[in-house]
Amino acid sequence: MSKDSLDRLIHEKLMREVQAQTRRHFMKQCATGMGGLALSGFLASCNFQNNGPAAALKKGLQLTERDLNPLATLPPPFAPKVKSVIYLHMAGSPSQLEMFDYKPELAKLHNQDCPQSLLQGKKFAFIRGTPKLLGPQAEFERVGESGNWVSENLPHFKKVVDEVAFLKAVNTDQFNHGPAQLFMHTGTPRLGRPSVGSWVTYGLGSENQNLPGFVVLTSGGQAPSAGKSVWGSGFLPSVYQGVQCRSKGDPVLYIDDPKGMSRDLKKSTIDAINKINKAEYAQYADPEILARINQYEMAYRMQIAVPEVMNINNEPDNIKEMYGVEPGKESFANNCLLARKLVEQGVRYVQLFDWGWDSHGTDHSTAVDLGLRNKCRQIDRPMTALLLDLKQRGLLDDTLVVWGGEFGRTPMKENREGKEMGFMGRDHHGDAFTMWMAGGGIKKGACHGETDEIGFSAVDGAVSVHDVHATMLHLLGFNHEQFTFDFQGRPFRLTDVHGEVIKEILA
Amino acid sequence: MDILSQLLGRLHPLIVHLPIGFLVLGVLLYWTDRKTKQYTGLLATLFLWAGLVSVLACISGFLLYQNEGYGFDTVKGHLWFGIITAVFCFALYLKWKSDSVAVLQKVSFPVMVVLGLVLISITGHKGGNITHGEGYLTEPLPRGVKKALGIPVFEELPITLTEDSWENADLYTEVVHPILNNKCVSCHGPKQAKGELRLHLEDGILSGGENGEVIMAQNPDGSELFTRIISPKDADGHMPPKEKEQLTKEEVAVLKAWVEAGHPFDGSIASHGLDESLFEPFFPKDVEDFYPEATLSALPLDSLRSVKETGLHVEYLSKDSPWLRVTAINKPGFSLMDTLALTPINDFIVELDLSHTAINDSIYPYLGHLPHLTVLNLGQTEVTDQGIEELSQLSHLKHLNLTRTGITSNVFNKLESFPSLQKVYVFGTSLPSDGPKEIHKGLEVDYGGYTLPRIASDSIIY
Repeated sequence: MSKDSLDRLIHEKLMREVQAQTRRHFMKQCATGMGGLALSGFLASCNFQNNGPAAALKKGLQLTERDLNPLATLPPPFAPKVKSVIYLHMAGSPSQLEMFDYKPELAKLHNQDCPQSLLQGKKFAFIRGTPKLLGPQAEFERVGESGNWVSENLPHFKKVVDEVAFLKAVNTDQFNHGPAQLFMHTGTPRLGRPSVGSWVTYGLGSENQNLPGFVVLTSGGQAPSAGKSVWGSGFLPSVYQGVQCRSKGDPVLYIDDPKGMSRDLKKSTIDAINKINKAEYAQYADPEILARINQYEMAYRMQIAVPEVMNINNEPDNIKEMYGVEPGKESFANNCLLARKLVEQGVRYVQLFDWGWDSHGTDHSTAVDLGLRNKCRQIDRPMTALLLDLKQRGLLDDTLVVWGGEFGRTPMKENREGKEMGFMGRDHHGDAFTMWMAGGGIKKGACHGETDEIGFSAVDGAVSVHDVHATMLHLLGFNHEQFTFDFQGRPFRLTDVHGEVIKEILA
Repeated sequence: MDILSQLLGRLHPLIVHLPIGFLVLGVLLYWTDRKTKQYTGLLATLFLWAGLVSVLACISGFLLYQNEGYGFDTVKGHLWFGIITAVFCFALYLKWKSDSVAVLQKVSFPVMVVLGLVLISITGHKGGNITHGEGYLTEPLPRGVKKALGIPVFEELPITLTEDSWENADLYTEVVHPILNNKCVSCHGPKQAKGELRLHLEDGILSGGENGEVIMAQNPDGSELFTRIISPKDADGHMPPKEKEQLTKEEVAVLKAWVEAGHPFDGSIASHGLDESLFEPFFPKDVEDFYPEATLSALPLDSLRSVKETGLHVEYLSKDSPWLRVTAINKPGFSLMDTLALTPINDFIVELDLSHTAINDSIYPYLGHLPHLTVLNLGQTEVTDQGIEELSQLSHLKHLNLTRTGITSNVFNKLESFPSLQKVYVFGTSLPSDGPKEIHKGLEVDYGGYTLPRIASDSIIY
C-alpha cells in the first residue's frame, strides 16, 4: 500500500470520527458537566443556596412569617402616608391638550406649520415632514378653589379637582406604546423587571389573607400593548405578580371548581395533599413545604373571597349610579367600583388599564374631537365617583390614586406618511404630558410643572417617570434608593439610578 | 538621580518604622533588664542602630518633602522633631556606651528612655497628621470627650430663617456659610483642606484651591464651586463625593443665586434683591407628627404571636416605630371577648380597624383604654353613640370612622369634648348629608352621600 493511500485511509477515519460526534453525543456526554455548570449558575442567581428558607433552617436561623407566607406583611422602612395604591392607566395615552393642559396660544397657531426648530432631532411614531399645529379641540375653564384647568370633556371631574395634584410636565424617553408602558410600570422600557405593584407587594405584603395583594383589571376591549409584563414580577418571586381579574364572567380564570367537583370534595382533596405535605415536612423540615401548604389553603379561601369581592351587584343603587356601572359588562366604571371594593378589603395595589386612548385621528374613534370625547365620557364619571367614594369612606386618607398614560400627545396634527388626514389626531409625544395623583400625603389642589405656550416641552417642573415612581414609593414608606433586590450579583432598584421624590405635590 | 531621590523619599513611610521599632525595643529591653543588667552592651548597640536609621528616616523624609510639593509650614514640626529624635538616639547610645559624657551623667537612665519614647511618639504623630490630616486620630472620639479635650468639633450650623425675618437675615453668614459649613467644610475647612481648598472663611473661598479660583463673579456656570455640585453624581469631580450627603435642590438654588449676585460676604438678603421663594424652603415648618411621639420601645415580635393567633392582623407602623396597627380584616367575627388577647399591646395600638365586625356599644369601655389610639375605624358595625363618650379620654384620637353605623345626631355633642379629633366620617348613617361641615374649629365632618347628577353631556355620543 502506498503512503498516499494510507494517508487517505487515515483521513477518512478521522472524518468518520468527527461525523460521529453528533449534537446528541455532545448533549449526552457533556450533560453532567454542562448541567452542573448551568445549575450552579441558576441556583446562585436565584439566591437559592444562601437565602432560601431551607438554608436558613440549616444555619439554625428562626423562620420568619415571610418564609411560610410570602404575602405576610412587612413594616415599611419609614412611616407611610398610604397603605394602598389604585393606578388608573389610560392605555394608548390620552391627549393632555384636550383634557388638562390648556394652551390658548396653540389655538391661535392652529393650522400653521410647526416650526422646524421643534422638529430637529426629534423622532415621532408617525409624523413625517412638516406637520401643522393643531389647536386644542375643547373648551377649558379654571375650576375649584385651586383654579386648575380642566376641559369640558371632563365635566364631572371638575367637582373633585381640588382633591388632586397635577403633574403637568412628566416626560418619558419612549415613544411607542409597548416600551413606554413597560417603562411606566417597571421603570425600564425593556422586559424583565418587576412592576411597581410587584415591588410594593414584595416590600409590604398584603393584609387580607383571602385575596391577592396585587390585582389587575382591564377595560376598553384590549389588554395593554406591552402585554402582561406590565404587571409581571420580573426577577421577584412570581407570587408577587399581578393577578388579572375580570369584571365579566369568572373574575379569575379557572377559579371555579370543574363540573362534578363539589366544594367538600375539593376541601378533602386539599386536606389530603396537605397531610402528605405535612408528613414530608416532618421528614425533611423544609419550610418551603409549609409555604406550599399555606398556598393551597389560600387558594381554597380565594375561591370564595374573590367572587364575593368582585361582585358589584350587591352594592346599593346610588353607588352604582354614581359610578355609572354596567353590570355584566367589562367597563372602566365597573373596574373603578371594584378598585374601591378591593382596597376596602385590604388589597395592596390595584392596577386598572383602560384601552382606547391612542388618538391618532386615523378614524372617527381616534379623532381628538370625536372618539376622544367618548373615551373621556367613559372615564369622567367613574374616576370622579372613585375619588368621592374613597373620600366618604375615609379610604382616601390612606390610598394613593394615580392617573396617567404612558406618554402624551403632540401639539401637531398627525400627518401619517406625510399626508393630510381626514380626522384630527395627535401623534405620540413623551417630552411633556400630564398625570395626576390624589389621596394620602398628596397636596390637594397642587399643580406642578408647566409646558411652553404650545405644550411641546417643559419649561418648569419637569419630572421623569422615575420621579413618579420615587414619589409613589415615598408615600408607601420606602426610600426608593434603598429599596433593592439582589439579582444576578447586584442590587436592583425600581428607579435604577434615577428618580427624585416630587416634593412639590406632597402635603 | 532624581528618580532615586524620589524613590527614597517615597520609602519614607516605610523607613520611619525602623527607628520606632528599635527605640521601643530598647525601652522594653531596658525595662525587663533593669534588675539583672546583662544587656547594657546590646542596648547601646540598639540605640546606635536607632540613631542610624533615624538619620536615614530624616534624609528620606526631607527628600519626600522636597519632591512631593509639601509646604514647609506643613512639615516643619515633624521635620524638627525628627531631627531631634535622631540626635537623641545618639545621646542614648553614648549614655549606655560609656556614661562618660558630662551632660548625660546628670540625667538618670529611666528619664532618658522616657524622653526617647516621648520624642518618637510626637514625631510619629506629627507625621501621621501630615498623611491623614489633622485630627485623624481623635475623630472617632465621642463629641463630649472631644469637647472636654478642647478639640474643635464639627458643628452643623442650622439655617434659621423665618417668614418674618428672612429679608433682614445676612445672606452670607446666615445662609451661604451654614450650607458650605454643613456640606463642604468637613473636607475643605480648618481641619482638612483637600485640593487645598478651604471654604470656612471668606479668604479661603476667594483664594480657591490647587486649580485656582473656584468662583467667577456673577457666573455660576463658570464657577467650579457651583458646577461640581450640579454635575451628575457619578461624574468625575462631582462634589460632595457621591457617598456623602448631597446638597438639596434648595441649597443649590441659594448658592447659585449668591454667585449670581456676585458672591457678597455681607449685606442682607433684601439688599441683594433675592426672591422669597429661594428661602421659603428653609422656613421652619410646624409639622406635627400625626402619630404620638414614641416613648416606648418596641415590643418583641414574639409577643405579637398570641395576638396573631387569634386571627387579628397586627403590624408595626414602620420598621423603627414601636406603634402598632391592628385590623380585624381577616376576622369578621371579632367581638368583645377578643379584646382580651389585645390587652398586652393596648399601649402600643395607634390604629385600630374593627370595621365590618360583630362589635356593638359594649366595645367602647375597652377602646377607652388605648392611650395612644390615633385612628379608629368602627365602620359598618352595630355601634351607636351610646357610650361613645368613653373615647373622649383618648387624647390622641384624630380620625374616627363611624360610617354605616347606628349613630344619631346626638353624637356631635359628645364629639365636641374629644381633645384631638380632626376628622369624623359619618357616611351612610341617619345623619343628613347637609349637616354642618365643621362642628368646631378643627373638627371636620364628612357626611359622604356624594352624588354626580346626570348632565346633558352624559348621553351625547360623538
